[in-house]
Amino acid sequence: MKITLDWMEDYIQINDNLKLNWDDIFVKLTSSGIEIEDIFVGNIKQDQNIKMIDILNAPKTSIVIDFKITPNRGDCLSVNGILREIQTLTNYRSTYHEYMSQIKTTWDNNINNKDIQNKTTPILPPLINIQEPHYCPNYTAIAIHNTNNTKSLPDFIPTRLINSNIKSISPLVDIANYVMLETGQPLHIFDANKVGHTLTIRNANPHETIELLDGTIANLLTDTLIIADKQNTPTAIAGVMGGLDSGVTIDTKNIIIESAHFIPEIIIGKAKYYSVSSDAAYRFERGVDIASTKDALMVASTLILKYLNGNPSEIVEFQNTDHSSTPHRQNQIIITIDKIKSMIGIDIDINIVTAILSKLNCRVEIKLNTLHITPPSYRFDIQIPQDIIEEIARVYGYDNIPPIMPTSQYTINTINPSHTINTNYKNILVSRGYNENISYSFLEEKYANLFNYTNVTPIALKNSIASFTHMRTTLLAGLFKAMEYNVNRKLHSIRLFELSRVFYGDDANSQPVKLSGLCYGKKSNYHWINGNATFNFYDIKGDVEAIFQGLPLKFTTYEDNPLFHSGRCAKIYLANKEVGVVGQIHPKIVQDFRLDYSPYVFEVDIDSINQSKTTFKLLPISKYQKVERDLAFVMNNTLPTQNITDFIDSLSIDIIRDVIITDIYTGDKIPSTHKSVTFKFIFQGNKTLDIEDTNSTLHTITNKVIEKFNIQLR
Amino acid sequence: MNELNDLDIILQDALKLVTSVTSINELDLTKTSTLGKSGKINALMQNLKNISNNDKKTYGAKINHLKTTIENAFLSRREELSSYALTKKITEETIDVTLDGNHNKLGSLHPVSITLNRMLNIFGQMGFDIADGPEIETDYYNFKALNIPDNHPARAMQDTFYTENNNVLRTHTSPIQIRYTENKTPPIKVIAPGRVYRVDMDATHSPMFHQLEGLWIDKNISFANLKGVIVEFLRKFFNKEDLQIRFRASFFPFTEPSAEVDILSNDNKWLEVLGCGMVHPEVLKNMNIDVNEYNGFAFGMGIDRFTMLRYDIQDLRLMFENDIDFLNQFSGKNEVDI
Repeated sequence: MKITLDWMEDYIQINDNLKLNWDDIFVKLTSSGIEIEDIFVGNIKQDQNIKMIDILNAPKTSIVIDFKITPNRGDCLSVNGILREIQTLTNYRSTYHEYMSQIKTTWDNNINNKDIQNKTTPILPPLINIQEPHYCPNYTAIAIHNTNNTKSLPDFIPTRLINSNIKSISPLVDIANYVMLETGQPLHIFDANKVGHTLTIRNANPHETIELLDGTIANLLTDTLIIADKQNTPTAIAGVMGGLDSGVTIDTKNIIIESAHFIPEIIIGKAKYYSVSSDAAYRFERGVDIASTKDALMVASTLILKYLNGNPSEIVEFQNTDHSSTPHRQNQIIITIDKIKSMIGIDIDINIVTAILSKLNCRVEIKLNTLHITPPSYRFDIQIPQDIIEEIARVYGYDNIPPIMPTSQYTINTINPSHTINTNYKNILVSRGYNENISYSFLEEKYANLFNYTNVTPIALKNSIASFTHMRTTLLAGLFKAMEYNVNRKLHSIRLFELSRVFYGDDANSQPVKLSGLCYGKKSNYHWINGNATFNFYDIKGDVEAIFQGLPLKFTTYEDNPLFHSGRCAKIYLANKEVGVVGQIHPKIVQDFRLDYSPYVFEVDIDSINQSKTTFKLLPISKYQKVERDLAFVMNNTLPTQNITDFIDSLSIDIIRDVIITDIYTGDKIPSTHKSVTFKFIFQGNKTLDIEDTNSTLHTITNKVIEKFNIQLR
Repeated sequence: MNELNDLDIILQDALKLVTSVTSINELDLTKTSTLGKSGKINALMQNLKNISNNDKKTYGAKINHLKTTIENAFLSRREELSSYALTKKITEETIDVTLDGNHNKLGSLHPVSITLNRMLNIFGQMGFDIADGPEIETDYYNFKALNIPDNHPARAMQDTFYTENNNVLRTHTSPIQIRYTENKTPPIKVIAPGRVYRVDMDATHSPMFHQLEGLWIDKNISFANLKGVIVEFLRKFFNKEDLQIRFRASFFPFTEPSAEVDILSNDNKWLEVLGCGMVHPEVLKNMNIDVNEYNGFAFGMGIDRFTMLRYDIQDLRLMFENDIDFLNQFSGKNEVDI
């Protein structure tokens, strides 16, 4: 909310002993919750550290203060509200109250004077028919006839409005807005010739519509409070916006001014629902002082009569005395002084507490150690003891409360396993040259579908931003996009990983954590040793094996997935459970994206892997020598070597420590459909192994392998 | 005595021979031929029996001396030659040690991860547990349980992402705290880091960003305690014991009293870094906490924002572009770096 400096200064009492120090005021307002967001001179935003002394030569009418008002402080959305706050926090005194009293006195003495009324034709006040008094507990109105909406207002009114980002429209509307900004009470002016003499406040009936001042045609919902004219046709949405047909124009002579109280519950959400922007709704949603309706009406009427002429009626005032159905505002709040001390954490004196509360215009009764507090009618946000504690703390000054570490029962948490393990995975990948990637959790539809290798339906967003319409079902899309970005930046050695959630469904159990990686292009960025080598399947598979070193991962060929090269992709298993995939991106995609190299990727389900981990048990260290022996078998190219090692493993021969494939040969010496695979066996027993032992074991293995797979020893 | 002159000649010849040898193998052969059984020295020894008894002692001593001298010459020549051979080997094997080492270049953690690790490190020392939770949340956990009313602007589709099932992409990590606390009894100390989402995208806003929220519930927890923990955290995080910190009154539906916290930057500007407050009694009730016995405080901060402050990153968009030239600059960085 923007307010010019001179407007506030109109109502601040200064004297020789108390020079106005705005910098001090701003510091206090900011630290107690009314933040000075910006200071402008004319349209020019000043530096954050600007001091008022630096802009003293600028006219005060052009110095604009932009206050950031939090949604709980609707009472501060006016000059009067800011002045009240200044009075609470500083030694400066607001004279707004005196100004208001003077308006009232003048009104009572002159305008409302029966003698004056009698001298002219009396103007009848409008008839007000309130059908929903619990939503509209207070309604005041006045009729003014023969006013002149073509006259000019003194400069300060439109200037102040424009500086507050409110357009100058016509003198009558400008005065209504001006009074709203000054008092916080929204007003509405009807053209009396259009609405007639009677206003009805009721809920909209089914199928009613209204064309609003901004041209919006609103199809009214029946939970919307409206003002109806003498024909009972909607002529305004209460507290939100008036109708176009009943609004004042330059020709308007006779008016009705409405100054009413609508409770926030009936206004909240309405402006948004009807897609209109309204300063009135903004204030009513946050709560307007129920005690301000008549005052604001008098200020507005006084200004209209002063600058635009006219003959006023009496002020008509409706007050709902039955509060039973109105949400109760002025709760009495009961709190002990001990509670205040313990919640704030300082030994604050009760006299300081009551002084703060009285500065806040709260009524306080002290009964023993208990305070019974009634907040002022404009403070909608003070309802529970915690609200009182906040008020005391912020006026006392948050910065005057010392920081004290809590005294609490010390609890030791178990080491968070998932965070520690995940950090470990990340560090392994980092040490193997991968850059950690953080990409958006949502994707363009194209990427969401192209990379959806798991074939679950991606969750669509109702309201997407940019073109990110779907939640990712894989991290691979984000890695691929990051790869594209970097390829476009002429990088040709790319390793990326991400550890994060993917989304298979809305419920908490369908959002698993995945770890994915991608390699693209050259293994190194122009290294002098073998600098042109490019990534291959076994590089990335090696990375996967390194991350999960010690876990018995198994791999099976994974064909027929459009994302992957069917001859170069494997599913990853752990304890017979599928936990991931590793492979080369399908050549079709490489073509479509015009990539120079084939990306290799992996994606593993971290949750499944972490759950499958078994307790570590140290093996005894044998003191006997290891013996190494090699065997080479010739077999069909299509036979996965893992089948053989798995088979040997299943023989459970106790002296085998390890079986490692040390060579694959294809070439002239064997058929072209075949490969020769050399297995190195590492034997170790609980005695020194002699040649007989190892030979007979090798013999057994050879026979069983040949028998099982129908292959030949080379 | 002629024999003595002969000895001198033999010595001179032998020493010449030793010096002329250029390899250890040749040296060994020469040594055998000179000092071995069929060598000249041995012949001299054999000849000793023909020498008169008078001269035998002197002559014998001379021969022994001659033998020792020649042996020493061989030894020192051997050392000379082997040292030369090593020097030669080393010279031949010399390489350009200034060329790059043959290792994979190191990758990097994302700066957000490094910052998070630093935060976890500090809060971990204060005894906070770490909690995690789903990113697609129900309205209850994201809004209602946190005392955010039905009509609160934050719930609007202009601000919050909704899935077609009317769940939300969590707008803060507070839902984790509700889930964590539901089944626990105080004292509770937990931090909840993670991704959060808001419908906003420009130079200073990302539709996805990272938050860390904290919660401490116990008996007699005060606003002064909240200040204590926040001040301690900020000074440790920025590694500056005299860091200027300002608490301002603010408003959040889930805390009362509420505060926003600013730190004074090096160029003397206040920078907003986090929001905090005493947990609102309605929220405590939703956590199944007895509000008469316990209270607590909560705080929340942007991990991305702290990352940008820590590394002087000016543009938020850099954080999620995954430009390798950006990421590589964090290679080797870790959470204890200053």
